[in-house]
Amino acid sequence: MEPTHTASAAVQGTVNRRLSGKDLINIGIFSALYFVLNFAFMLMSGLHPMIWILMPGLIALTTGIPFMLMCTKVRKAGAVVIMGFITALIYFVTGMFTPLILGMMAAACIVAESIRWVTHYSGFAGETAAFAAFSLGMCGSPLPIWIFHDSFFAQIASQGMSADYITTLDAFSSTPMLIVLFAAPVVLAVLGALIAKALFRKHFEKAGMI
Amino acid sequence: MKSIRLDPRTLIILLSTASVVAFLPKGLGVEIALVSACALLQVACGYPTMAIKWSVGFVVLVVLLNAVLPVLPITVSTVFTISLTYARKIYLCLMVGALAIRSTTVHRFTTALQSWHIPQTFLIPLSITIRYFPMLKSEAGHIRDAMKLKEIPPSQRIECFTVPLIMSATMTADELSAAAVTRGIENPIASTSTERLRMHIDDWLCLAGAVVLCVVAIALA
Repeated sequence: MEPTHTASAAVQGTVNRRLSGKDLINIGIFSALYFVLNFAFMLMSGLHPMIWILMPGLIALTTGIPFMLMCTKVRKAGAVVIMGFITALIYFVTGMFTPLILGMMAAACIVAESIRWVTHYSGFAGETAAFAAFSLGMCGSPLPIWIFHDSFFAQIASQGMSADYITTLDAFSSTPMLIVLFAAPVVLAVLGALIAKALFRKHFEKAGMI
Repeated sequence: MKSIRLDPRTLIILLSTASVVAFLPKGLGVEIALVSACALLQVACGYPTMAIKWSVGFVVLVVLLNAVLPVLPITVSTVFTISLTYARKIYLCLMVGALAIRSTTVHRFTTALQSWHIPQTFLIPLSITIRYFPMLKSEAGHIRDAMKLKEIPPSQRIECFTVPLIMSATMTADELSAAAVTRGIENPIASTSTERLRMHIDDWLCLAGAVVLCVVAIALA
């Protein structure tokens, strides 16, 4: 029902821009899938600083499916912002989001929405670029290691860690690591989008779900 | 003593003040004062067990960070120092968050956001997401059970789990849309609610207390 509707609307050149009730429900459901995957990696990131730094990338790798599916189903402005809003709000209410991540998420959503708008909400390349931009939002989580570097390490030092140890730990807050933090989501988002595409081809298109 | 019931808006503002002080450099004394204040709030709201759990948690965390990790071999402490230090920094947010989740419902929460003029376009998907979590869990359980009946090679496990899950999510979205549209989800007029939210004197007292603590913490930083 949905594909024929959008196709005919596109032909007429008058795509209904407002989100319908059905769109809102689709966004809600796929945001739930997105959040669960996101949360799983958030919990895992406590195991090792390296996992934390790679967390935004790992989330991008695995959430390609819900994000791309939502983009296919809701070809309208606002879908990505709502997904970001839901994620940020749930994290904020549970106390796990600081203003820094909220800001990063908001910026990432705006960039992703702009990319989708420019690419007319269609085409694999455009949606992938939007997904990469959206994935960068989670970089705000480990970012305090760099931004609040002094406060962070002052506390670690005051906890009685040896200077030797702090030097080891400081390696995680180096500039190369900062580059890894921001490069990983972009690279892995592309990979995640490709996985999603392959899976859609193999299973969902045949079943007529897209 | 009758326990107080905070307005969800108060809890959201408390969370914001907690995240303001999160990354400030704080002395142990200030930290203890803030954690105690949060614990007292949890008690006042009628959750003494929660308050005890979080207070003990804080003591354990500080002991771990100050006494246990420094004597452990470097390879072990590298693993935990950053995440535990981070947890200690956002501990207040986690405490208020735990209280927010236990003491308020999704309905009250969305009503509060509605009173701040957050549009329905955001609130409908939000309610759907939160209410879909338990369904997602049971669905995942069913798929896992079904997978156990068949010998599925490990290389295919992820795919065999993901595909039916996404299929069911898509199907749920379709069915739910049909039901919701029938019940008038697309009605442009603001929906009414049986929930009447009002800021009480307790709410204002809590907020005043939070602001005072916040200012003191900033002044001492």
